[in-house]
Amino acid sequence: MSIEDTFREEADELLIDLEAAMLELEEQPDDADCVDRAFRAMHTIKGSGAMFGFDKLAAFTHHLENAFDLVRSGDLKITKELISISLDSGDHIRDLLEVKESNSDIDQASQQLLDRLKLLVGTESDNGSNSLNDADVIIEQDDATSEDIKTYRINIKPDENSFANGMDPLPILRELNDLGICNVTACTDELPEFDKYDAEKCYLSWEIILSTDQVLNSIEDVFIFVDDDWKITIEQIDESDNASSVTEYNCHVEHQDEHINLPEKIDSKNDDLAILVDKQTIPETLPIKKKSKKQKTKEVVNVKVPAEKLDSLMDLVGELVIAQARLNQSAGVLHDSALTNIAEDMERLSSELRDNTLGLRMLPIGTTFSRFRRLVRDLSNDLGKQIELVTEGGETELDKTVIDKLSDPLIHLIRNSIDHGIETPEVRKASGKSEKGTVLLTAVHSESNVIVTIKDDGSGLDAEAIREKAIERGVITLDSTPTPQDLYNLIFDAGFSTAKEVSNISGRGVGMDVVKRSIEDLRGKVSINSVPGEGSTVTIVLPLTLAIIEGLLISVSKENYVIPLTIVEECIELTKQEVMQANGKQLIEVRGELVPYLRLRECFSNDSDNPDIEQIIIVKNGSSRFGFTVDEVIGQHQTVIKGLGKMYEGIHGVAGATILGSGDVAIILDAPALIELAVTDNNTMH
Amino acid sequence: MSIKIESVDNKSQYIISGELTIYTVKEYKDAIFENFSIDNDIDIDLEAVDEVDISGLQLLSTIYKSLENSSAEIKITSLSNVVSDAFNISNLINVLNTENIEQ
Repeated sequence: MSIEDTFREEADELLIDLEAAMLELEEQPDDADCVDRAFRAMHTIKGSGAMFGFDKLAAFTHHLENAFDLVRSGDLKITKELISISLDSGDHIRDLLEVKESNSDIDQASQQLLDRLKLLVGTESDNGSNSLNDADVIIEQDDATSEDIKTYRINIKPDENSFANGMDPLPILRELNDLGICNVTACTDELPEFDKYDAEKCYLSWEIILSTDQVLNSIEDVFIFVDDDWKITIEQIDESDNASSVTEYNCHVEHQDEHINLPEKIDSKNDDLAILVDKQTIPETLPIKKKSKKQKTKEVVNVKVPAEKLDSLMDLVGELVIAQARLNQSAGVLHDSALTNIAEDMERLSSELRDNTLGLRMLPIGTTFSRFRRLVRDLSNDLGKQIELVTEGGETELDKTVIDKLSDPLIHLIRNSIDHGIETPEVRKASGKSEKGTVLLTAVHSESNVIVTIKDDGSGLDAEAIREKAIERGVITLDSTPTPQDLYNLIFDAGFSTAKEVSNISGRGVGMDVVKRSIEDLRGKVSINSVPGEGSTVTIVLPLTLAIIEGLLISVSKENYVIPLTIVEECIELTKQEVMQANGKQLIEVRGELVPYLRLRECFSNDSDNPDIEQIIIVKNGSSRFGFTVDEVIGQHQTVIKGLGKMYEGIHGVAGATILGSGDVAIILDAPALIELAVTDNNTMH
Repeated sequence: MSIKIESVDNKSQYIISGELTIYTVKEYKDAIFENFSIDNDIDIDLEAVDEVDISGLQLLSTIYKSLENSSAEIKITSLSNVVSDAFNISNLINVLNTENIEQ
């Protein structure tokens, strides 16, 4: 990952934070913490942006930051318009992150936002120009000759190896230069003779006298990415010297943009500087070192790793688990106790490794939730509805891949709730509800699944409209009497929309089927329930992980299958006698309860004969129980889920395959799908 | 990126172009060192340098400093805006004998 990508990623996180702060401010405009958070986010985006060459972005963010500085000082009030501008600016900064070069569309968008901001902030408080020119940013700061200007002496001694570590002091000097009026003195005393010179080592150090209206924090922020090994001190210089120092340095800065052609001037200035430095007393130093130590501890707590690395780690663990299975198999065959011991130890370790690796990929789902606040806010404004998004269980963890792929379906479902579900304030009032609608987004753990629900308190689904539409589309016949629940779930069929108007938000009937497919791709299930007048609830059940599961390995006439262990309740025997007693019905009595069962042999069209004693695996299927008969239960098996490839991906009842220690392939059963298949077949037969 | 070194009698000319940064500086230093003598006059042409960092400026500064007590003359005959800007910002301009910069 390039350093620019790292910046983009960090900026993206900061933008999310900024957005969250804005939305909180919308609720509580007086929250000073939120203002600070927003300000810090903008400030860091601006600073790092400038450092990595995103000049347009830095210039643009600077204006926004200025506005929030005014808010902090109490000169500007948080208004809806300011929040709206800030949110739009956040989006715009995202665009700016993508394009480094000039682009007339983007420039125009920047200008429009700045014009809005200017209108709000007023010309007085904004120090004049709002133009996009980068140089203006610096000029503005130079103009800020308020009493708040303080002078700092900054010493920078980069670590000897800083070049090799990719840290160039030049951008830092440039950034300090942008903070105010800056006089830089380079110390070249340590430069060796040419024959002893190592081109990749840094021998230089700098002393900088900076006069700025920025706070100490802003100066420290310049060094935020610098290695700990750099020696950096920042000290404030006696204020009584300010006046003279400011003017002296001013003239230096004036010449900075000119070419190197003024030798005498530079020399004389150096003399001035020497005098100045002598004159100044050295007050207490504020070592930045301490701060960077603190940051370091923070870094250790969280290590940022690219997702691909985790994916490849997961793949490797998968391969290890398969190799482990082979080891177990060989150890079993060889009957060597030493080898068996090793194999057992290895098995324990590899299963711990697997759990740890899976744990690494787990992320709290709340990161996705917070993005929806903005969506709800914008949509409800567009539609003139009052809607509050309430989230619960944001700390629930899910596999990263699942979270990534879940975002789009969730957006679609929330949009649907807002567009179709929740009524306008007038309608709500007329039906005795509060004017403000609520969308409740929750996530909870349940066994090896995570259940995400999206619940709204809107009008609910119109079962009759769905019925008509279904008849019109030939999905059901006129005389059939499906339950309301079945009708509701028809909306997940392709091309099914009952929206009376097609809006840009929803109503085109594309989407719900895509939602269903995306969730099924994640091995999840989606269903909807609704109470007319009270609202609808969409429930999504997702597996915790997509990579490795604990399975129960079974066989039917030498063919191996795996059933996910989490749904297995018990294994019991089925004798020929019991089969006879059931009069051809595939039912078995388990402790007084009749459980239907299915022969895997028949499901997979295996022609061999049933053994005298079969095993039945009883699995949970929602609230009911269901059995599968097999020849032999081999035992628990760490199952690395592998796809079956394009040829077989559409097969119902098969969730994938895995490779066993012997090198054989075992089919992983999708038990709920098999049961559904059996139930439908049964219904058609009757 | 390239460095061209031309030596005639007691005078060398270094023409550097492209990138003068940590990625190229060692190569340039080695090339210069091979030819370097504190008795030779040096002209440096930086007109075509489009990227520079402190390691690059440090190389130039070291060459300048090494000739400080010698009778040989060193000068930068031309330089790009990028280099000039970097010299200014880092104040390493003071190492150079600025009279010898020809505009």
